Amino acid sequence: MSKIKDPTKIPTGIEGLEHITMGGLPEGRVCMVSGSSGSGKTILAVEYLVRGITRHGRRGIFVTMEERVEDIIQNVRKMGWDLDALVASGHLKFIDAAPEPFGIEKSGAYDLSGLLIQIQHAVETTGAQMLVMDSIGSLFDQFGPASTIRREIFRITSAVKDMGVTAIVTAEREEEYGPISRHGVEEFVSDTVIILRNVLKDEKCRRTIQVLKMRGDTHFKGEYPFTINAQTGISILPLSARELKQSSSTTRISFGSPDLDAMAGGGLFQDSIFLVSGPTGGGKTLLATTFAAEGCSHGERVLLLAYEESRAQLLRNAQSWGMDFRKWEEDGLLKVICQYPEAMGLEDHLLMIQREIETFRPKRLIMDSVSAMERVAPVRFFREFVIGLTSFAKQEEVCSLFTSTTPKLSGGDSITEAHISTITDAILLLRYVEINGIIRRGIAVIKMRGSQHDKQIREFSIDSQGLHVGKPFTNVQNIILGIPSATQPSESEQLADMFDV
Amino acid sequence: MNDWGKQRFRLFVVGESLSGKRAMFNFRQFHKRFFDGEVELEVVDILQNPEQAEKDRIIAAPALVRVFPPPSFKIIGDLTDTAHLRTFFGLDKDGFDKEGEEDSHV
Repeated sequence: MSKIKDPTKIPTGIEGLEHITMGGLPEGRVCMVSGSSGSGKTILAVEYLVRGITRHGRRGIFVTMEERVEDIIQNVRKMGWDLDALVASGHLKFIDAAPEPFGIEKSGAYDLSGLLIQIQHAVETTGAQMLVMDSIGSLFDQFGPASTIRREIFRITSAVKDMGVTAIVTAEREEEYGPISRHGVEEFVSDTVIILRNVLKDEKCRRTIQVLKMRGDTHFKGEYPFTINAQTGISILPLSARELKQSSSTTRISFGSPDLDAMAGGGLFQDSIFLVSGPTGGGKTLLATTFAAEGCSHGERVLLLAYEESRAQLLRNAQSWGMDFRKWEEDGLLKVICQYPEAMGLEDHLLMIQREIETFRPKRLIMDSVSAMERVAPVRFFREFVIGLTSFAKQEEVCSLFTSTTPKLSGGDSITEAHISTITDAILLLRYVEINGIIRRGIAVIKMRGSQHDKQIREFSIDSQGLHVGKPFTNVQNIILGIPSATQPSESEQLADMFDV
Repeated sequence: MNDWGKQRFRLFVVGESLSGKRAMFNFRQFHKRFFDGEVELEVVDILQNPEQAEKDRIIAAPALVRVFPPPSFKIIGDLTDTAHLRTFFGLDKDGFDKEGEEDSHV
């Protein structure tokens, strides 16, 4: 106990891992990374070494107990990690403890001193601060009995700690929600346990990472989705770990329609997220297009993500309202990305959007529609996606317009609204209104954080010029709830309505 | 006559460890009894020569490696299980070659 002092944490350089571990791995301790086959243990371990070497100037040792050295080097090359070069420059050293092709004969008692001494020798000669052992279960398969191997693993990890090396030890598990590791080594091996999962749910694979324990220190709990990208490696998306600490902007920007700006009390705040909810054909895409055009015409960069229409359709429709998207794209002001929501998992979508925002640095972001994403994943994942996206957009001060299609023509709640409405700063409702047998469109601002707004439900029309906001509806009730009913208007009002005076 | 006379072995031990001593003793006994001194044995202390241990990929110790003739093989342990050694080397309990069974353990 006397030896234990408050551990300092060292950053790993793996995107998002510092966040969920609250600073990185405890220095000079052993961290066990446990996961089923194909959950990304080796990638995480290799990335820990690569980032440590390239970003923090450390040196590392990789003890491979399962795969051959050549195979590991080959497998991570496509990620742009040149392990050969790191070995050549003396920053990385492999210790080959992979099974021998013809097996090993055993006669009498033995221990794993050979491995221990090789590790100690390697640490002394290279001055390594990092060590990876991948994966420890292989020792049980190659050597036995289990009690000996447990004792030897304990001896090795103790020696590693004594040398002050920060180590990652990987172990396999058979079930995604079961014992931590196959051979139950975690209790004595590690001060920190991280679990990687690759769960198939609703026909989608979803990778998650969980910091199970971190002895003597705090960390974020629960599972966080992550992705393994062919170019960039592991990205953990610490969605619910995000803090609500965005600064607020008082700069107002325009919808692209003076009438709408007036309804919203003078326009949107630059760092706001606003949701446009309406039935199909209600004018959401037009509103989004107008919002984009307003930005582009003022020389602002706009990122438009379309999940329901093709690029050609979008450009044509914009053209028909006199907005030249093609030209803005050529000028580098507009970026249109059209994709099927099914093209990838939500985590990948989120990551892609974040990357686009980081590289393109738009002032405005349009997502048409967020509700299209509902069908790709279970509700919980969708909620995480929405939270991750909105918090990122806010942090980057991108004024974002999300559209949501209501499930019924008459309106009603969608999953999107249930999860997104509390996060958004402004909500615009578009609804069909039936009055005296005629379908009309209504528009209402039902929420505008930090500002006064029009409380009336106004008529909304679309023509070749675009959108127009008209007079408030009178004598109609329950429009928002989707079941408008007329109160008895005076005869003169009825006549005026009929002849559209 | 057989090829045993040309055999060269390398025995990896850890310092003055008892298991290393046992392995050395057992191997000497074994080859004295069955090969009559026609075996060359190099004892390597892993602590003194970790580079050689790395080259021969020594994970467990003690470990006996046949250096020559090929194919190379490795036997780990303190070699107390002589019955297993005899089987492995294709010898019967009296030390004679067992016809046609040499390859069955490789």
